[in-house]
Amino acid sequence: VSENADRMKAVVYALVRPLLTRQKYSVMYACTVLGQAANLTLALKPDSKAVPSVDQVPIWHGIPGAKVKVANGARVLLGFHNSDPARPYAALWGQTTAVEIHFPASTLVSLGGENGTHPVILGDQLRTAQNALNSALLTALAAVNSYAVAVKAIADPTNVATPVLTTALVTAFGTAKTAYETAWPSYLSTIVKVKQ
Amino acid sequence: VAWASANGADVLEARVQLPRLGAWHADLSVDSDKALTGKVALSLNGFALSGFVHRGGVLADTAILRVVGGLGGLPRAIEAKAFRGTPVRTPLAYILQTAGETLSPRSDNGVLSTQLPVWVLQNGICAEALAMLVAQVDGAIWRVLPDGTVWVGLETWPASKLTDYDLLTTDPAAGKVLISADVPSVVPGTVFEGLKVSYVQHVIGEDALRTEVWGE
Repeated sequence: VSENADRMKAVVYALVRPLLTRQKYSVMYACTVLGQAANLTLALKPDSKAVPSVDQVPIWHGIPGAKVKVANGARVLLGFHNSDPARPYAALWGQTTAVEIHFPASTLVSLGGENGTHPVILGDQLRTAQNALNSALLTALAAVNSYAVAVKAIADPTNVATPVLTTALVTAFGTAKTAYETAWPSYLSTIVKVKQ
Repeated sequence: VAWASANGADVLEARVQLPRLGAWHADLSVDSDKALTGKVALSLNGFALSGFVHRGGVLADTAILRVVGGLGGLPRAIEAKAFRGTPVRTPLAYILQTAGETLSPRSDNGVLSTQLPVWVLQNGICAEALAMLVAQVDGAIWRVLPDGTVWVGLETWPASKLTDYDLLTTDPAAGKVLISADVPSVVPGTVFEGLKVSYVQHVIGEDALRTEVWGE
C-alpha cells in the first residue's frame, strides 16, 4: 500500500500500520505439512511467501487430549495465539487422511451420539477367553469319548456306533476350534484399537 | 552565530523531535544552495545528533530537509524468517542488519539475552519487526539515540545530565516545561524537572533555541 499510495494515504497508512502488523498475525495461513516430530509437533510450509516455514508447531485439535499423526503433505492452518509471533499453532485440517488418531478419555467415548450404550468388545481378551472355553469344551468332549469307549467295552461290547460318534465329535470340534482360532485375527480391526 | 549546524552548514530554522519510543527526526532549513543527502551530523550548539536525510531539496538557496535518526534503514522491507530457541539478540541482529542500522552498545543485555522458544517474522518493514520483537519482553522498548544507534532495553529513568538551563514556563496540567539551554542535552528516558521525559522538541528560530520537554 505505502509504495503506491499518495502522500496523504501514506500518512494514514503509517498511522494504522502498527495495527495492520498485528493483523498479519491474526489470520490463519494454509500450510503443507513437511514433517512431524516424535512429540507430534509439525514442520509447516505456508502457501504464502510472506510467512516463513516453521517447525515444532503444536497442534490444537479442538478435542481435549487428542493426538494425531499425519503423513507429509497433509494440509492444515497456521495461526498465532493472541496474534503473538512467539506462539504459533496448527489447527483445522484440510483434505487429509490421518495416519493415527488417539482419543484419550477417562470416562466415556460414545460413538453414535449420547445413545451409544453398547460397550466395545476388547478383542484380544475375548479371544483369550473364548480359546480357553473352547479348549475346555474339547477336553470335556475328549473325556466323554474316553468314557464312552470304556463303558462300551463292558456294558455294550457289540455297539460300534457310539465310539465312532464320540470320536467324530471330538475330531470335528477340534477342527472347528482350530479354524475358529486361525480365522480370529481377520475378525479384529487393525485400525481401531481401544484401551480397557 | 547559528544555534545549530548540519554537516558544518548553519541551520537557519529547525524543529527537532525526540520521542521516547521510535526514531527521532528533524525538519531543517540549512544555509546551503546544495541539497543535503545521506548522513547528516547535526549539532545543536554542541549537542550532537546523527541522522540520515529522509527527504529534501533546495528552495531559494536554502536546503530544506527532513532528517531521521540513524542510518535511514528502518523503513526497509524485511523478509519472513522463523527463529527457534534463540535469544532476542539473534532476530534483532537480523532486523538491524537488514536495515543497515547499528545496535547501541548501551542496550540492555538482559533484554537481548531473553530466550525466545520461537519467533515467527512475517514479511514487513524493519521498524515494525523491531517493535514486534521488542514487545516480546515485558516493558522493553526501542528508540534511536541521538548518536544514531538503536537502543533496546528497559527504562531506568536516570536523572537528566542537563543542569545548565533557564526554566521559561511550566504547564503542570500538560506535564511539560519550556526551557532555554545553551546545550540542550535533555533526552527522553530521563527525569528532568520532576518529569519522566517522554518527548523532547527543540525549536530553533532566527534568534533563539527553545526546548519543550514533555513528561509521561
